[in-house]
Amino acid sequence: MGVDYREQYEPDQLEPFWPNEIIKMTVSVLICLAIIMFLVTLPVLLDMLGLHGLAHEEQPANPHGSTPVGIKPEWYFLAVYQYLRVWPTTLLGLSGKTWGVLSQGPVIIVIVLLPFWYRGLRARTRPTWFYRIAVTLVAALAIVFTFWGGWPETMTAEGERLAPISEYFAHHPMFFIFTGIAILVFYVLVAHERRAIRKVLYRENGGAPTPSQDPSGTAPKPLSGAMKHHGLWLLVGLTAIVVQTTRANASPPAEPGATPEQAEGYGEDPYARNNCVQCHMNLSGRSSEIVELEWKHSVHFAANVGCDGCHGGNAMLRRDQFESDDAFKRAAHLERQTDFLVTYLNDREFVSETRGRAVSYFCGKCHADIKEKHLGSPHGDFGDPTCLYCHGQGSHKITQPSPDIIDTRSRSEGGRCSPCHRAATMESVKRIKDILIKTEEQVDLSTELSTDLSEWGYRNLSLEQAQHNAAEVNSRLRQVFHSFNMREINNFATEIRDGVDRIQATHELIERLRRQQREQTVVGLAAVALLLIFSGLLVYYKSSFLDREHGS
Amino acid sequence: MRVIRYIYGWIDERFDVTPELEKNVTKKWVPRTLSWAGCFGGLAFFTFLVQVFTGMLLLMYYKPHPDAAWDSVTFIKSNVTMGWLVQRIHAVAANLMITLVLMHMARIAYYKIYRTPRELHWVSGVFLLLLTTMMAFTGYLLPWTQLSYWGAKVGTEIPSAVPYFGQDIVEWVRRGKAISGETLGFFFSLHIWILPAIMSSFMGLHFVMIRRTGISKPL
Repeated sequence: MGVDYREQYEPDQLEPFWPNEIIKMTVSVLICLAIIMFLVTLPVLLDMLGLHGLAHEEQPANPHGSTPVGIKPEWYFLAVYQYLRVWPTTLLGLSGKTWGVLSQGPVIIVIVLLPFWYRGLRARTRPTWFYRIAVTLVAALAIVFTFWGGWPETMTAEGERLAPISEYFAHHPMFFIFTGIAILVFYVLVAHERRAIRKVLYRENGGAPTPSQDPSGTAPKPLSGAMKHHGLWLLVGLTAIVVQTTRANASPPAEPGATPEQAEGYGEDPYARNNCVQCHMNLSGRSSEIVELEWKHSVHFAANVGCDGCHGGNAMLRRDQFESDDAFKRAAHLERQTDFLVTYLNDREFVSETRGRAVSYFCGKCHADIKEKHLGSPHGDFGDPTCLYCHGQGSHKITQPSPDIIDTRSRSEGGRCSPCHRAATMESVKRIKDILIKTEEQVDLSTELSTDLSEWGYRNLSLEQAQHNAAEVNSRLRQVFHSFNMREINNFATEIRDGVDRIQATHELIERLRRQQREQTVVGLAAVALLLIFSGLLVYYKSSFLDREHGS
Repeated sequence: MRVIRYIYGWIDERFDVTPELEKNVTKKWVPRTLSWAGCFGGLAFFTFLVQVFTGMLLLMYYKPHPDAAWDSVTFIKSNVTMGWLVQRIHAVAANLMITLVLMHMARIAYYKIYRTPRELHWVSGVFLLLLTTMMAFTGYLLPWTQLSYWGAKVGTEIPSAVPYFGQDIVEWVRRGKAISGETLGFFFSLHIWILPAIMSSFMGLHFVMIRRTGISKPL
């Protein structure tokens, strides 16, 4: 059944199948294996080199959600995808989509029928210049459509806007690199093949063939020109890729936004236009003490809450809007809210008249969830201590929430819980404080573990239930602890611990997996190296011994 | 060595292997124009074999059910010994296979190798390209990830643009109105049996025809 090539070729145009051709086949299979192995281990290798985040982030399908934004087909469908999109919305009464889909039929039929065009004389002539350029153009068009289809875009009011190429490259670096390598490999191998054909069939550099090699009798066109031509195209393409790549890397888009200092609110004075603060800061006596010594060290200062945030008044009024100081002062102070902690009694004084549970309602204007818990707690029920007793120690220096607020020292040492809590109940206070500290540690640990996991690209690996958004958990933690109900606190602590246990188990599993992957990757890369060395030896053996033996 | 020679002799006596071996391997002559670029097709077949092998391994753990598919793939990747490796080889070799098929096709077109008498080689090759992309499309849904689900949804929506039958085609492909467990089962059977069987027969044709006509003498 096989073909005897000795009927078609001169003896010196042939080489033995065994071992020459077998070696070539073996080497190509080995290199193919090496490429597969290299690509398989590449993400792990990059991860080992510190380039995280290139791993696919895979989430389970959610059929009930809406279509995710920016979803694109796999690379091999991008050309067809883009082809469907380039059609105008309507054309001759049919939608562009219909044209796109229906025209694929004729395209496939043309491709299938291509060989039936090349019969008779055409079948015996060498591919013409026109033909070769046409094939190259079709291939180039497919590549262009592939890149175009994969281009990240955003929808604006005017229509679609393509992202700059630097962003494209930054998001899909491998897409560019692999396409470049594939095109390069293809061209190098085809160029090598054309050289072999010229050398073997046409005795070097496109010299005139003997009649036996050219049944049609038409002399071939010199191929060296074509080679140069394609080399030029390749060079232009590669230069373009290199230029674009370096440009993309050279000028990363500047991140607009605040410096960290500004973001925290300390760098630029956020109270420059708050006239309550500006005025009271410069008053003598208690007024400036409150601003400078108490409020400026409070959590409210850091959170951009000025005097008016709690006490009311109009911070936006300016002195130059009024005729006298008095008028300005009166207007600024009048615009207050009546149920606030401090009421404006006369021209001179603010007097605190809010006591007991009313404090919770007052602070609860902002801290609503905590208010609920506090009012349901023994503290809230009794009406004392109020928010301010624990968090402000009676001053404007409202402190950061922390377990240290629970002051378990004895009365003689000045402990702030001990006036009410004696020996037995103090034990409960201590237990609650312990649970609070431990739970905070757990939350920190879970944040740390989750950060690790997401850095490794496993953000969504069965973690939805277990993963906690640190800010959310911390605020829930604070709420629950304000109930000062041992059962509720214990339940919550257990819930957190279970969640952290799950994260920890996943973390351990992934850590072990990553360790294994790294070990196996090292072995895999060693195998790649061995395959390549062995292939190199085989090629060397073939070219230095076998080819010379049978060469001309 | 003597044992091997004895076994070979024993087989040769019964099946007359030597002349066939000489004709097709040891005393066969091939043109020296055959170059590395001629390997694309063969390597595409090799990656197909890799896919069949790794696919059989993945099949041991994979569960084609919407509630279980994602978990089973995650299980393969994180719990099964070397599972991540096999899963990634299957994914990488799929991409490599498509690349090689496209390169093979581009080279054939570039050299006009499909001309008489090799028209049917080309025709079967075009079908093999389409089958390969169908394999990729059906296989992509199986891990039941967000990307694969919506990819399949958008992909199967394309025929809806066909006048009159569009919606029927879409519903036939999806086995229902939406992508569901039925779609997954359909794609699964296409991916592991129906398409590979059709592909194998086309490959068989492809290879038999190449054996019959021999490789093309370059013009």
